[in-house]
Amino acid sequence: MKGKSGFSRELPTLALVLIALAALTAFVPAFHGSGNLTGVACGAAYIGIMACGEGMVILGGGLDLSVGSVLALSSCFAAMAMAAGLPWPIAIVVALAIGAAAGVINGALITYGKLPPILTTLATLLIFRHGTSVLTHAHTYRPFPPTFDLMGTGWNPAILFLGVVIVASVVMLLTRFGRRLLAIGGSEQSALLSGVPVARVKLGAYVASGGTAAIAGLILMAFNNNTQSTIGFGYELDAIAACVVGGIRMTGGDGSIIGAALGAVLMALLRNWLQLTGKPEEMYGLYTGAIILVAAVLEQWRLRSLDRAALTAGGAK
Amino acid sequence: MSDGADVTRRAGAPAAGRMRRELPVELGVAVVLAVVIAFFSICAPDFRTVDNWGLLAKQLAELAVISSGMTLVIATGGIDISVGSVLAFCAMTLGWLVVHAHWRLEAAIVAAIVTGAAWGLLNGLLIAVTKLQPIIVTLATFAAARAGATMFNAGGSISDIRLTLLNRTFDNTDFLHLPLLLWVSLAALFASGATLQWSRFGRELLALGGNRTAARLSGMRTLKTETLVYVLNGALAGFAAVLNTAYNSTATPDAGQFREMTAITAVVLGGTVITGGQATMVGTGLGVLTICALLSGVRLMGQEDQMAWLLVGAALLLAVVVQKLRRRQ
Repeated sequence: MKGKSGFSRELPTLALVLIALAALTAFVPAFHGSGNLTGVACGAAYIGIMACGEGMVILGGGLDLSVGSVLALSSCFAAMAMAAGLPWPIAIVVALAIGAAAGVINGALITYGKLPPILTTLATLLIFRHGTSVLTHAHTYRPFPPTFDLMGTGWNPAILFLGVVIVASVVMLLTRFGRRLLAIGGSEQSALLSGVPVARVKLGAYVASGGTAAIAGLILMAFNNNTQSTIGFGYELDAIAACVVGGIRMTGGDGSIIGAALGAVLMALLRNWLQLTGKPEEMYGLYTGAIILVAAVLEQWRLRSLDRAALTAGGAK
Repeated sequence: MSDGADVTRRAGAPAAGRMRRELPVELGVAVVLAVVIAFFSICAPDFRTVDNWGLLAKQLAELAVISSGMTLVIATGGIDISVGSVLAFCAMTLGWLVVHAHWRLEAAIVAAIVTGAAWGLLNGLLIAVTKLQPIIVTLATFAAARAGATMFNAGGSISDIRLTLLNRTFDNTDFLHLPLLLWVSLAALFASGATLQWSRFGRELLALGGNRTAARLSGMRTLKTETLVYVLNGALAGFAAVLNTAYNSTATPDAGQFREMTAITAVVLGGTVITGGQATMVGTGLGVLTICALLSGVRLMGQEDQMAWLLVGAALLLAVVVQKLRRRQ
């Protein structure tokens, strides 16, 4: 099924991104300002990086609602490490380890405990977010060393974003893990029967999701030069929306990391357009909602026509 | 939503004709509730006072109304994460109609409920007709309704003397020595429970959640049933908006934030199965009470609310694990 459709899956999103870029360049002069462009890039980066991990989970037939909370948990731990006098590279390792550990908890509960992903990650959303708040006593950590803040400066978030997209795409397209994850998303039972270690592979996807949330948290805290327990509140919805907009099938098995990344870019452009044209930023929700629905309906149509094509092809044979 | 492995287990287990008597589903949440009440009664002396219970009885009304609708939706195997946003939209509609359009309070209340039903209709039609996943559709309306709510007064809330009047009616009225708000929550739970248990519509909801294809093949009008349950849920969110506005004497666009998560937690904590087909309104009521008691107790012990939400999260996880263990037996 996958691959035969070639690049067509990402084309609508890519076209929309290009149209949005062209329209913004042509009609909104403030868009060129170098400060603005890097701001958009940073916005796209942290949502996009989260969407890469979230996309892997969704491709495997799961869902991770806890990414926003994992972002806060890992970033606050990194901040605490730096506040305790540890050098910033150690803080980065701490954040990544915490993100991965949160992913292991989610993944283990869902795969080995056989619990439903939505509820499990809803519970860990509450636990990680409010656990962070209780741990930090709602303290705001700042400032960080200038070398650490480099991560959120200029085009660096965009470069990191690109790096994560490339790594995640390579993992999904070229490794056995990626193929197995897609197989599980397509039909968990068939994958199980054909000898795929389903639990281990799914666990890996949740670890990736926790890890990318931690990277996004590091970039965001470096960009803001501060962090607190409320950082990244509600970002899980942005990450999921990026995946839906990017053409990832919500039940798994079909879609690509590049699509999710394009979806994140599109949403960052949309938000920037609202900001630059002085529209109330609350409108963002209205547009996001509409885009999610349109993308989901289009995807439904595409899948149905694909199924129909497959059916007729099968009949002819 | 459910995975393939689940199906085999259900088919493999001797599902029908089980002879052994089962413990009621609500037992788990009842035990949790008893522990919560016992713990706070000992550790926080103010918890067991009549005043606190009076306050608690009022506080749980909004969540009880939302959760009763959510139980019906989850019974069909669906989910509605837009209710908190719809609540805010309806609250702002109510405030705007009363304050800026000078509607009568009664008419505005009806309009708020109808507005909620309209959002529910949008959800229901999209889910039933386009066959999109409920979580995606309601994710979209979750974002849209919240954005809509902030546009009534440029992000600000609406307060007015007439909304204070609403507060006096709902908040300070007693009926048979109990607060009116408690009667309201009991009525919502009872009405939804009766619908689920005794009406044809209720049985159709459970059939839909049990096996969608079988329900359709046996001649049920699944499209109508599925749409209707989201309409009902939206209308209840509209009613909850009235309660919320009355309780705060203000209509605010931040109303009902995270209420969908709380309601889902209450429902699952109560023993309703998230994949549908099995639901208990008594359990939902106990789940609502547990969450409200937790919040109140943690506050009385001088802790932050965050601690309570941490415990709610842990309770949800526990409930999911227990549910899984039960079904594995």
